[in-house]
Amino acid sequence: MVHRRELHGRPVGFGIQGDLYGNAMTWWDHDTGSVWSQPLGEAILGPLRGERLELLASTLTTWDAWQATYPETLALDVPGWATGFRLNDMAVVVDLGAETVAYGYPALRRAGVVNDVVAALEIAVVVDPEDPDRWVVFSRRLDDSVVVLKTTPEGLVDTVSGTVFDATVGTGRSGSLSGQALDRLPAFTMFPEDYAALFPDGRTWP
Amino acid sequence: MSGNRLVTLAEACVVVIALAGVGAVALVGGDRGQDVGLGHEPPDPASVYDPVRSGEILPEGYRRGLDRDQILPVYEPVFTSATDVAWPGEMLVIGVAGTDTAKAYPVTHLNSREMVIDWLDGIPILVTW
Repeated sequence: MVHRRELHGRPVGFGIQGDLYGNAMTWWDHDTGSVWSQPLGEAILGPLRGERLELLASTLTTWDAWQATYPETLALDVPGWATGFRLNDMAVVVDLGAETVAYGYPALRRAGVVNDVVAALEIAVVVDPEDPDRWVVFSRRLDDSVVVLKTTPEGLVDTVSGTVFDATVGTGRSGSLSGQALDRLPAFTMFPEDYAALFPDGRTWP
Repeated sequence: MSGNRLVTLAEACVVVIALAGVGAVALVGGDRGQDVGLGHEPPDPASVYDPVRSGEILPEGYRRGLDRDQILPVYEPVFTSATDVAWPGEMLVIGVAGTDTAKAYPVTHLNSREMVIDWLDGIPILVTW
């Protein structure tokens, strides 16, 4: 997960609290010592209890897929080795506060696109048809329209207008909405069992 | 679930707008011109208030584990180019992209270190696994 570590306009330092909440990691902030839940991005103990950090759009994907999208990417200068698990073991979680939904990756990969409404916002969870390790969550709202997406050999297509969008960055490539771009929304991955523990009221797709 | 977590469309889209605006932030935000890391020594964990050790009532589902920073976060990350690392292509990374910069953090490293204190195009970020 990637959060904006800033409160009231000031950068905040964080460390690892070492405890678990809902089976997920906890942090402490260097300013007040408050304890934070990682998946909630929220202080759960201490003076800042109830404060939240903004979740930023990020992805979990293979190194190959990331490099293909961002060939100029910087790389954390550490050794890397084959991961002991795969995206198929995880779920993509969209948490918009009023509603949280988990999309199991194997079913998501089979579907290609899930058009959904989460917390009254039309969204789409998309697996890139050119690389099943690349996923992204888009808002389906554009200036004056709401798109309904599907994957085709041409790319990501709005079934309403026929516009073709780039499945990775969301820019319209051809069609009547080609001057516009779909907004990326923050989302993260979790193991399904951890999701059930931390978001007991959360919805699971399908 | 905690309360007061309603997120509006406007708030949900703040990320996109923020990422679109980071170039401007980097230019005008002189005090944010730092590129990576915490930028100073982290505080001694024992010198900062700890609500758990101080006896605050713990929420249901909270379990004690290790001491603070017993697993040490990456406080001063160092980056290199994609061509300079020899990572297997199927290895999973957390990837984050701003207007000017994209960064990849291998999950295998985060399995042992769990947290990176960093910046992305002038925005202070916290990368965790």
